[in-house]
Amino acid sequence: MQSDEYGGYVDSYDFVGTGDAHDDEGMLLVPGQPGRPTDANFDDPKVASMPKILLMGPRRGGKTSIQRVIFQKMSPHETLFRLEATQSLERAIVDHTPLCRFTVWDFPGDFYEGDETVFGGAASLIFVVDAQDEPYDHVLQSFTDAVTKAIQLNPNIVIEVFINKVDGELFLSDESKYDCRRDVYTQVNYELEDAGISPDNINIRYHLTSIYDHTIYEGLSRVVQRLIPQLPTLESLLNVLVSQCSMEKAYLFDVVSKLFISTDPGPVDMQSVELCSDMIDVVLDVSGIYGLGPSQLELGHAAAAAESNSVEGADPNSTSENKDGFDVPDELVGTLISQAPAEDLEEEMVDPDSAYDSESASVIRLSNGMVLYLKEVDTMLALVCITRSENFRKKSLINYNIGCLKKALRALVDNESL
Amino acid sequence: MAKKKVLLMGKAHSGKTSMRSIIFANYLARDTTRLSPTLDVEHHHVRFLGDLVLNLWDCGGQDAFYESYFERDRETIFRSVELLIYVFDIESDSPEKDFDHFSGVLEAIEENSPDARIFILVHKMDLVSLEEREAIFEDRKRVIEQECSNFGVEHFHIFGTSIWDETLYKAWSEIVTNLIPNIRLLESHLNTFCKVCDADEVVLFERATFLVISQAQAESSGDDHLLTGPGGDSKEATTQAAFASPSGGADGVPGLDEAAQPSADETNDTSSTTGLVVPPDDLDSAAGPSNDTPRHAARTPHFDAHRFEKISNIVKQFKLSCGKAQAQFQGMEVRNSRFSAFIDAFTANTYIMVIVSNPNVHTAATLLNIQNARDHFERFIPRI
Repeated sequence: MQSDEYGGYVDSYDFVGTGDAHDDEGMLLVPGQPGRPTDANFDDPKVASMPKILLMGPRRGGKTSIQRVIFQKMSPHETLFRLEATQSLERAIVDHTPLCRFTVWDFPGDFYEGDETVFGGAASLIFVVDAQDEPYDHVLQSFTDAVTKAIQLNPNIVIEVFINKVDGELFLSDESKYDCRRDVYTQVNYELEDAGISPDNINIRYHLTSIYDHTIYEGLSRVVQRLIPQLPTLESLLNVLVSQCSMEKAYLFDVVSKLFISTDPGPVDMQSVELCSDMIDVVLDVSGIYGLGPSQLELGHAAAAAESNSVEGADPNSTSENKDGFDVPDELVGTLISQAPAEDLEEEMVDPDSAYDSESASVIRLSNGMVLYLKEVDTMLALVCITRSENFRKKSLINYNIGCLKKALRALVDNESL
Repeated sequence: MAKKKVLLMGKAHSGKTSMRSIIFANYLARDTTRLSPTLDVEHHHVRFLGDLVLNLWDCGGQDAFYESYFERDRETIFRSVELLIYVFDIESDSPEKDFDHFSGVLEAIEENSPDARIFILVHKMDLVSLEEREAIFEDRKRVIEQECSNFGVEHFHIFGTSIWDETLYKAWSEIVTNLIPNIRLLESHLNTFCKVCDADEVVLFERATFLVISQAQAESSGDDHLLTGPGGDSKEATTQAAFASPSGGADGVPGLDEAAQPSADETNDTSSTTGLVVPPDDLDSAAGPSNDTPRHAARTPHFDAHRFEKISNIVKQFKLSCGKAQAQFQGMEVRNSRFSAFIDAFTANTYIMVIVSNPNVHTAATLLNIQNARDHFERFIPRI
């Protein structure tokens, strides 16, 4: 619904290197500079230092569709007729929330050349294969070539294979999907051995994906999680939260792309992730109807709301109880929390008319006694918790603990940018 | 228990079964491609608002069937019809033939069920480009009106609809509210409730279909003052307008239905008997933190005109996701700095949505109000 608001910047440039053929239509709204389009410059050290995700694969494999569906909110059905074959490298910056920033390099089909500048700083290479286009041997041969080159130039690169388009009549059963994955896996290993590389030495992960369901979010979430250096800290922060509040599960979501960037160490149930991600849709859609406001109005209200909040927070009982309750096992986490400048938290500069703001929160109650609780924890970042309703009674306590998490996240980001 | 016979007619492939599946069987628009043409007449019983049973006759639209509808089964089909819904395909390649059937249907209805209410849907509007949509619809509407008047049919409604947007919901909401007898009374009670909650808007949805049954809005007087600036005087005026005493709402109850007469008496003291929490406006305005900000700054009646249908869609989609996760949706609360929305199971057959933008109204107060209003509304939400 709100696709325009969070549009990503797409820079399309000639691969030969005349780097200034900029599209004017795409704009990036950088948090902190509300509403101001930034001329994305990929030589800017800040952008250049972001992790790179490369999308490669055969023609019509679905690389651009994946990119559009996830990062530009194109509807999956539209990709059928609105996209042309990608002729030249297209690069996009994904920077909605401070913890999760990266660039996506979408290559033309069957393009596997690449030098230092391409593979050098790349964090991951996503190879997109069309599962409905058998046989795969030719494609996987080029894959092997690309992989060989990539790991020569950059031994740290992570290889991800997206077995895409596992939807439609060919893949009605889970069985057929797993068969397909096994086929690709065996062939890749065979090809690699042929090329004289031991498959055990490179880390290749396989994902079954389709843009028509949640699998593509799942696959990309796993890719993106690897790019976040603070991931272990995030996990331990969430772990503390979950155990202190007796929650079942907690996820951190990038609200715009709906990728989940971290969770507590408990087992991940994709069904619950999907539900949480659908909840984000609900929150954004409902807020888009009732919560968009002219910016002048927003000022007065934010002030009022902030003040009434601080009154609630001053409840002496809950505060003291919580301070002891929020027991921090990790030394790093401890220092992070104490460093956090509490009073600046409200100073976040976000587009003031945005539907998702610092007060965004939502509670959804389900008939099976579960409660989904969503709360804003950073610019375009949402914490979504799943908890039993009997553990959701002391909401102010939970809010306090989430407040602590929020401060810690902020400190984590500030530390990094120093 | 009241059974109401509803005829769903129109040419083949005009989308009758698709719209029925979306509204009453929770289909998503894209799932309707799986439906196959309807053969002869399919009967469906749809329970609406608990006690109201719609006996839906989905009539296959092939020409051959019409012959039997008009000849052999004429009485069976057209007798004691409560509601006729006739569907036109906007992109029909033979409009003349459509009208052949249409006039036949009108004639048969006039003959067998002269009291039937008639709704005409000009469907698949999405196939017409946005710029032309209005003009083409008006054009088609004129022809249909002409046709109707030829047969002496005066009371009918025409809607332009599409399964791909909210227009279908809107049309069906209007169709079904036509079947609810004491709808005016319900509306006035809802108005009172809206005032008591200091809500911007209150909407009542049917539980199974999430069609809109009734709604109430706060008076929008606050908006004008906003433009003139938050002066002290205008603030007073705004407050007064928005909080006209709760009992005031009951005076203007138009056309009370006899069936619900007993509960009407209670309207006057809604706030006291049912224990609703009235916002402590005067009490805390002196000490309240937002003393200098305009009280109803966000009371903006400029919301999207199709918002209820969109909400219906959002909730229905989410209900489906819940189903996948083996759970059922009960209620939700969504907020940001400008509003709070509460969507909650209300009476046995309804959901309620309350939108509050006044930051001084606490969540707990609204939830308590919803809780306490339940029994009150339960008593006169249509039991037919």
